[in-house]
This record gives sequence, structure tokens and C-alpha cells, in this order.
Amino acid sequence: MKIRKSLIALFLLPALLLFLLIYLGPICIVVITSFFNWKAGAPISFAGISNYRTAISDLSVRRALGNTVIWVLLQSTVHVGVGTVLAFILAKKGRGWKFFRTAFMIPNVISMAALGIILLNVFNPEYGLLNSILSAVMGNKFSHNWYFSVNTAFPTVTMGWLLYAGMITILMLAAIQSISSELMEAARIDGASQWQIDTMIILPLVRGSLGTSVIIAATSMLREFEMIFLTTSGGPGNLTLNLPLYLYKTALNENNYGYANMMGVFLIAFGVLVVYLINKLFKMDEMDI
Amino acid sequence: MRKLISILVAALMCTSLLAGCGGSNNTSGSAAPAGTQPVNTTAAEAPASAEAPVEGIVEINFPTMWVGVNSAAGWFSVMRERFEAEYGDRYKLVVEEIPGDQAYVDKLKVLYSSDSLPDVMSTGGYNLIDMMNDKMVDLTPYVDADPEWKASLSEQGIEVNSRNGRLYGIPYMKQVVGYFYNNTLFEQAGIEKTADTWEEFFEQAEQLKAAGITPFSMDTADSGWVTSLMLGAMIGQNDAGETFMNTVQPTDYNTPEFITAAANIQLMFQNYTTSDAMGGKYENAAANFFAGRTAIIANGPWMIGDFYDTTMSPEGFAENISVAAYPGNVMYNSGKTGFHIGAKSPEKIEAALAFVKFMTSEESQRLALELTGEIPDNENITSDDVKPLVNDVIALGSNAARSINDFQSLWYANVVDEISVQYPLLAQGGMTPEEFAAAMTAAAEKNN
Repeated sequence: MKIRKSLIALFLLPALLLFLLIYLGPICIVVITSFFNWKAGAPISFAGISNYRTAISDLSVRRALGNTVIWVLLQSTVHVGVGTVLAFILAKKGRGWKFFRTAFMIPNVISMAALGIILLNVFNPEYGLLNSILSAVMGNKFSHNWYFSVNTAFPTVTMGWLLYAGMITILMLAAIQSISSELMEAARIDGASQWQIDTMIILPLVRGSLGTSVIIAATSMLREFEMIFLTTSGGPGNLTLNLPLYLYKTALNENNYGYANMMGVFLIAFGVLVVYLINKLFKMDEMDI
Repeated sequence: MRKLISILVAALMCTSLLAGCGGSNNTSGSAAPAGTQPVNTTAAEAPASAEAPVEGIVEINFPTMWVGVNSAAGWFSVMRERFEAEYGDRYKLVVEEIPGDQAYVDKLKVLYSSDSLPDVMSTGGYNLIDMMNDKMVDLTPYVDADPEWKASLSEQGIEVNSRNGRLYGIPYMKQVVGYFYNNTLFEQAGIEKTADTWEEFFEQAEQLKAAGITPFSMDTADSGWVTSLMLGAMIGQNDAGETFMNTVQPTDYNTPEFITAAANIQLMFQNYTTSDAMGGKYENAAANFFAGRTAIIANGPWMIGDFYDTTMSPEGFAENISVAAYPGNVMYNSGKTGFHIGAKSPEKIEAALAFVKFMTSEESQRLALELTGEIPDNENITSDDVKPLVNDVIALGSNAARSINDFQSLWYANVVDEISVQYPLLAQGGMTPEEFAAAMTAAAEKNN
């Protein structure tokens, strides 16, 4: 037994070293340097919590944090909800279910850069697809700048990822299909309706996968960068700014690495909190089967 | 025995982890031939080099954005081949291709932060001297030691590339920018000559609009280049404005000139441009101009080649286009940042200097003029093999009453970004010109 344990430790060592070098080490550097004034071309000096104090009064940080929270909430609910509902529909294996399963994955398969450019053209005020369809429906030329109008910028950016729940669908579909059909048959024999089977039998049984899906969706919003960068770049003003994009701008436009790392600490802490809360909500530690 | 094998396997796995952390970086492909070695990379990747240098040959690395569809790609490709042919027995140029201006600038910032600036770099006009001069080689003694070389550099170019009396860049081109207009559309609107004053300019905009023609190509994305050229030209129409538009990294934008210009830009967005200007990129603005949907676009002589390119504009488009100085005879007419050296060892500095001298030579500047329309830093360099419009631009620059420099070369990077995200708010009346100026000031103050 002793020999086995030491062997296990030995084989885990490379992965542990990798984790220390690539994750833990840099995270520690990020946390430590968030307490320093660190700007390109200037000497590094200890700043205490001044970066954090500045962030409290920084309107862009407030806006970015607020937008990030909203997107986390929307993605955890609407996005996962859409994916789950689709999974339930596909699990019935209706006509063409394989086709729809594949088709719904397409936005998740193409790169975010390509998707961003596509959406820029879809929402283009001059020749965009959406305005063209609306013009055809209304019978006269309709032109609206979806991405850069103050009223529609935020929802338009949100639509860039909210409904594309292909990954969630695949996860939930796999979980649903792993449930023994005998349970459903027994329920039907007992007179349960399909709705009752879906909500009272299947849904509780796939709770773990649902929780995982919510974690994946929520944490994806803590990393969301490309779509916003490629479309609105956080504008107009800071209406569509989020923390990762503001972190990037602070580091590479303002060359203020200490302040950028402070935002990195926010993101890490927020991410840990989100994962913890979702774990608790879905009781991920308690598995039924 | 099993334990020993297990330990060896674990040790091998640990060693393989560290193998990638060596001092020299490896390319992903096979061994490259001697000479230049193009490597595609992104801002996040480390600079690449080929196999170990041959003894006696000094290797210098040069990341560049002059690749792909960049207007200078053709010029650089020719000059690189010529450098290889002439210096291949002494120096090896390792080229790292980084498509995109912003990606290139971001990459240099990352390298600067890790104290690994490349041996040679050139941003095509972005000012990184103020940020990075502590790690750039002071070229003053090298230039002073070569009077012929020094005499070939313009005073304007030396000034733009110097800080506190030290020269950090070798210029090879200057910035001469006016605005292009479509003669056919002007005729349709009954406009016979370009405006001498900004009042006339806006009256002509009304004339164009009345004739069913959208006056201006504008943009907001990616620094809002064509819009900001108009903004700067409006600012620079009096002494104070001209001074402002020649100030490096200004911190106070709450000036009457800036606010008035911002108000005019707001007017242009709301009345005289296309609906995709707000949020639009340079490519949208250019496409509108090429398609004849707009009559005026502000841009530099590097755009002239596109007027002859039938993949971008209609056949014969160039014959319809003329160039003008901004009202008040204002022209962007300034030196530009050139080639910088970040090499550390004397051998590499020597090699880098040879490369920089080669790239900034008379021959190189003439070729750039012919292939890209870029105006040479050395005023004595001319060519018969240039598009007519290029000579018009040069003449306008020489005769300008007021000469200004562009915002990308002068202003803080975060102000350039801020202007891009605030233009849409200004355009739709979501902020006043005063608030716009205040936003730029607030962004600039973050750098202190």
C-alpha cells in the first residue's frame, strides 16, 4: 500500500508542477501585484489597497462589474434554460433530431472571431440581414444601428451568445439519455404525464449535469472577451464593457498592470464565489445515484 | 525494478515539462534556410528564431506588421530580399509576421514589459518612444558619427523621433494627409472648387446632401481614423489649435478648439454621413467612398493605390478623385516615428543599424513612394513612377499654411481608444461636445 501511494504521488508530480507553474504561480503574482503601483516605464511601488479604493469610484469598473454580473445571471438562467429545453425536445428523438442536434451546435463550433464578424454584418445598419428583413416586412427602408445605439447596444451584444446553447444541449442530452428508460416506463404505467416525467423524474436526476452546465455558462461570462472586443469594444461609451475587456484595455492601453491585476483578482474571487454558490444551489456534493 | 521504472518515467515526464522553457525559442516548422525566416504569430506568442546561428553571422529579429494585406507588405518584401542579398554573409534577419497594427503594438508592449524588445522594430507611426525609450538604443552617437547619414534625415523626422535631445528612431517617411474627394459627385452637386473655410465646407456638405449625395465617409471603430483626421484638422485651424495638434501626449482636451471641433463632428455624424459610420470601421468608410456612396474621405496617400485597384474600386475610379488641403490650408504634415533598435549586444546593435540604414536609405524611401505612396522623409527623394495624386499630396504639404500631426502619433493610447468608444455617444447626442472633451481629459489623466 505504501509503495502504491508514493507511486501515485510521483505520477501526479508533473501535473502538480504544471499547475504550480502555469496557474498557481501566476495567480499569486496577480494577487500580490494588485497591491502595487505597476505601470510600464515607471518603478514598481507598494500601493496598499489604493487600486481597490480607486476601483470603487471608477465608473468604468462599476459598469463593467455590473454588466458582467448581468451576463452571468442571464447566461446561467436563459442560456442554460434554452439548452435544457432543447435537450428535452431532442431526447424524444422526433423526426430529424440528429440534424437539429448538429445544426444547433454550429455557432459553438465556429470561432468567436468569425461569429463576431458575421454578427457585425447581420446587424449592420446599411446592409445588415436584420434590417433587410425588417424593411421587407415593413414595406419601407428600415435602418437601425443595433450595436451602437444607446438603447439596443447591450441587448444586441447579449444576443451574440445568449441563445447559442449548443454545448448545454449536448451535455444535458447526454445526461437525459443516460437515465434508464425503465424509470420512465414505470412512471407512465403509474399514470404520470410527460410533463410530470420531465419535471419530477428526469430533471432531478440530471441535477448534477444541470449544475455543471450552469457553472460552465456562468464562468464563460467571466471570460467573455472576443465577441465584445470585435463588435462594440465596450461601447458606445462603456455600455457594453465587461471586466475582462476593461482589464485588457487597462493593461494594454493604459499600461497600468497593477490596476489590471486588481481587476483580475475581482474576476478570480467572483468566479470562485459563483462556483461555490452554484454548487450549493444544486447540492452538487450530494448525488442521488 | 517496477519502482525504478516508475521513478524514471515520472522523472522523464517532469523533464519534458521543463524542455519547453529553454532560453531559445523554437519554430513549429522544419529548419529554415539561411536568410530571413517568416513566422506567423499572434501578440501572445513569443518571438521565434530558426536554428542556432551560423558562427560569424549575427542574427537580428524584426517583428513586423508589413505582411498580408498591409499596404507596405510589397515594399518590405522587396527590401528584405535585397538586404538578404547584400548582407546575407554577415547578418541573418529573422522576421516575425504580426498582421494588424494594433496586434503589433500590443505585442511590442508585452515584449517591453518583459524586457525583451526585439532588435529592430517599426510601428509605422504609432508613438511608442515615450513609453519605451528607456529600453531603446540611443541612436544619437551612431548618427552623429556618420555626417552623411545625418544629413539625409530631415529635421522634422529627427524631432519626432527624439526625446530630450536623444534620437530613438530613424525616420523614413513623413505624414502628409489631406482629404480625397470625388470630382464627379462634386459636379453633380454643383461644387466647382474645394472649400477655403470650414463654413464653406459645411455649405458644400449641404449642397451634396441636397443633390442626394452623402457628403462624408466616417468611422468610429479602431480609433475612428478618418473621423479623427477631420477632428484634428478642425482643431488645427488657429494658432492654439495648431500647437495642440503638435503637442505630444496632451492631457487637457477642454479647449475651445477641441470642443468646437467635437461639435462639428457631432453635426457631421448626425447629418452628413452614412448610417453605418457609427460603429463602422475604416473598411466601411473606404468601401462607401470607393462605391461612390460618399463624396469625401480623409486619409493619407497610401490609399491612392486602392483607387487604381479594380478589386476595391471601379475601373477608372482614380481619374475621378482629387486631393485637397483641409479648409484654412491645414495639412497633416509632420515627421513620423521610424525604425527603433532594442538590441542589447554591440554585435546585434551593429547588425540592427545596418538593417535600419538599409531600410531608411534613399533607395528604400523611393521604392516606398512608388509602391505605397508613402511620402519620403528625405524631401530630395522623388520619382517619376508615382501616381499623380501622390505628387499632389506632396505639393499640398509643401504649401500648407498650417502643419499638424495626427492623433495616433501624438495622443495617449487609451485616449485613442476612448475617442473610438465615445464617438457613438457623441454621434447620437448621448453626450455633449463638452462632455466628450472631458472624457478625453479624464482618460489622458489616467496616465499620470
